[in-house]
Amino acid sequence: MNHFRTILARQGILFVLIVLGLIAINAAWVIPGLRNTRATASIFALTIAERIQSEINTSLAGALNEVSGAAEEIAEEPKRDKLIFRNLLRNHPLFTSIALVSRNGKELMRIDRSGLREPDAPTDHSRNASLYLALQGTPVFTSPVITSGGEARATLIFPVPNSEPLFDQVIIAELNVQNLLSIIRSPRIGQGHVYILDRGGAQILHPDLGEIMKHQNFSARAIVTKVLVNGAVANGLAPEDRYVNETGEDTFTIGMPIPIVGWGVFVEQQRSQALAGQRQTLALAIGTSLLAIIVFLVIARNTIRLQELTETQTRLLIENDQSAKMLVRRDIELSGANARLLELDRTKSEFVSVAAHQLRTPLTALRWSYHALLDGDMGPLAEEQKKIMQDGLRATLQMITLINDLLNVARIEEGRFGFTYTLQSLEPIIASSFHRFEKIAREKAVALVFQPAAAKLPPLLLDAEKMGIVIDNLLDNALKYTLPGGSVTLRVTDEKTRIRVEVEDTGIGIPKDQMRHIFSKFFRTTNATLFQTSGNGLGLYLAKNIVETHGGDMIVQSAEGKGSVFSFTLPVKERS
Amino acid sequence: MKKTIAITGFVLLATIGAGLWTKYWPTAPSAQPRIYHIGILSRGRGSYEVAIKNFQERLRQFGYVEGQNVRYDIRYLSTTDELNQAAREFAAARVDLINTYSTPATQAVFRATQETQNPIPIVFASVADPLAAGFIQNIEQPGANVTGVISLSTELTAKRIELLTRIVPGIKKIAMPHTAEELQDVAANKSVAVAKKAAEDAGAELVLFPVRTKEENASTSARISARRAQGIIVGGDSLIWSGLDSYIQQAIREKLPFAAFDTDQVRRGALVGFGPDYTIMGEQAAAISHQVLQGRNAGAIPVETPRKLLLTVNLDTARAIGLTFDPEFLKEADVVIGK
Repeated sequence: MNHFRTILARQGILFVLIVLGLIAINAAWVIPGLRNTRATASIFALTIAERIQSEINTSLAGALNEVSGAAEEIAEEPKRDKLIFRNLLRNHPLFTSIALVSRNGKELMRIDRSGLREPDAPTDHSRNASLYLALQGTPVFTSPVITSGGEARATLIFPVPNSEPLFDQVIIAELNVQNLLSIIRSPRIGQGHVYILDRGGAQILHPDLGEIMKHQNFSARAIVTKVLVNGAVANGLAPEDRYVNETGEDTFTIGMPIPIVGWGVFVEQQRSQALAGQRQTLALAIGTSLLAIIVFLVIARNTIRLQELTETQTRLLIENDQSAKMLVRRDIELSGANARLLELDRTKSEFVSVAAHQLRTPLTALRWSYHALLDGDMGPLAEEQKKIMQDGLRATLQMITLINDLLNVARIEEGRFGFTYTLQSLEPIIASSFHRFEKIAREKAVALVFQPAAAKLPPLLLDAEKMGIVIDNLLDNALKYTLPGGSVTLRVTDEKTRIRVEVEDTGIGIPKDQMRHIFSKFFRTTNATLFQTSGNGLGLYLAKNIVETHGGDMIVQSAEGKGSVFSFTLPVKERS
Repeated sequence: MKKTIAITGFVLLATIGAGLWTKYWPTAPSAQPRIYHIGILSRGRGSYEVAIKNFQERLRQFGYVEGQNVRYDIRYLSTTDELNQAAREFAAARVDLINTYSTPATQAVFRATQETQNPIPIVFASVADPLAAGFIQNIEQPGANVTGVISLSTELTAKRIELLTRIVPGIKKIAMPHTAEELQDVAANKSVAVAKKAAEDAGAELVLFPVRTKEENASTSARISARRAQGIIVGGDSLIWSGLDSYIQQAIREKLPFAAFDTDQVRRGALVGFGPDYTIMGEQAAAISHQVLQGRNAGAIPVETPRKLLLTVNLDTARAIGLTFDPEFLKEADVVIGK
């Protein structure tokens, strides 16, 4: 319902036009269709009427010919009149009686089907105007009279040409119109029927004898006037042909004159039945129109839905466009910020580099001073003094290490780290680092284990100094975060295409949520910070960068409290 | 887009509407109603006046109101020349319809209208034998431009002789004034033939009195005396009818039974009459004329016969001539005039 309202609201004019168009389109075939239906009904009824008219005409013309023949015979042989009349009665079933009548209207002789009737009480025909018309030489069919038995009796008056140019006698033949009943009963016309009216509009023949007994006259009907007075054929299609009959039924009736007697034959049917095809045609038209309207409504509904979707899509596109523009703006802003950050980072690196350079020289001087004092170059030191000097030297060395790491990081970021690759074996570098940390491990009571490769390693293209930094960092971290009693294993594996170096410890491990930051610059895990306060968070960053610069990769596997495995690989050039 | 659809729809509807208007809307009636012009030509007055009066009244009932939509030009004339002249005038005026009374009047307009390309329809209200006169081809389909009501006055002449034989049993001489044969009044001539045959059958002698002009009726009637005849009849003879009063008066003077035609003639003093009712014939002619004025071809309308034949008697005249009707005869009378 809401969609229907929407359709009317949005496409009301189109809807009205489509409905009108449907009406017009339907009218284009419905009107001819209805006409055709009516025309077909009319032709059907006219065909019946024409046949009946033809049969009645033939029958009456036959009667006329018979009487004509009899009149000529009587004119030639007047004494044979009785025989001639008997033959006439025998030959033509329509006749009920034949009379010979004189000019003054007196019956001279009459024969009916029961036999000869002497003119003891002859019928006076002198008041019958048709008698005089016949005496002028014109055969006349008179209008039928309904008998008490319900039979319509017409008379045919025919002049006897015995004294031309004047006629002295006429034959008056009485015809039982009821004998024509079989003609109007024979056609099958559904609920309809055929009836015959005389020239005055009186009903003289009907399939139902009771209707004849009613002595009805239908001259007031326009169709009767058309047929009987105007002598025209009423095809049932003209408005005046339509009437409501005596039983209140709306009828579809056609009428046709019977010229020989001036009567009319009418075929009457219930209008609803005769024009049933019209109802079907109309129903079809209404059905197709409704179907078309429903189809239109469905299409319109879908169109509206599509429009709504399109509108939504358009709105989203606009919003997307605005979002994209916003993102572009953000991107530009971020790019700017990034550029500023890079600039700041570069400035910071430069500062760190400059500062480190500036700090390293005095720190180096301090270290050498500490060494000179501890070596006793300035005289022997008391134990207390020596201890203080050693603490100072250790702090200075840590500072130097930090400075070196900062300088290395700055160089890496500035692309100035200065790798010098030579094809050489990795084993001496690993062995050197291992030996460097053996003493520290012993002091810390951590088992440092070396598991070399099963076979001699192939030479690699590498920078030995930088690779030493990598292994030193990994071993340093492992020993730093492994409690006494733990172990650190340095393992080398030849994987044919690459060499894998692993440093496995049983240390404090790395919290799971901090694994992804482990190779970030200046990052230290929370447990590492708590465990060992010293450390700058640059070693793993530096080591990963060096390995990746060599075309390798570094990963870590760890479980907090259980230990870690740092491993890196280095690609092997094609083996000869 | 919507505007285009709206305009297209409007044009479509306007076209359909205009088509329906053209097809189904009734033609607008003209501002001025059509005025029908009807010419009426009668030979003599008498019964014809009665018929014409009823002709007009019946047409009025059909909606033809004099002064509004119908105009009558009524001519009561006598001689053939007068009738021909009037007929030519009607034809020249292109009247819509000519209503005639008598065979000579119908002959005159028939001749006049045949000379025109589109013959004016003729509806006769009293012609004795249109077949014999040559106006029509047959009763059901008259053809040409003529139809109407047949009067049967010629055939009924025999009936008038029969009436005289019943009123004056054994009658031997019957006087019959008639239009002289050389004037070629078909109906009159046939009436004489019918009368001769009927008189012969009745064993009576028919004494003929030919008349050539309307004026001759007076002198001719004076010659019909009781010495020369025992009764008088008239045929279907409009010339005699136009001077009928002189014959009626002569019959009363001579105490001769006069068997005339219709009720009007009996009312004017004839002893008996047997013929159609002219009031009804006028109405029948009006009904036919209505069909013709509505556009139907006159030649396709069947000729009608009188609906009723009336036997009329005049008791005053009977008393005047010293006659007493047989009660049985009187029972047969449809109309009894006088006491």
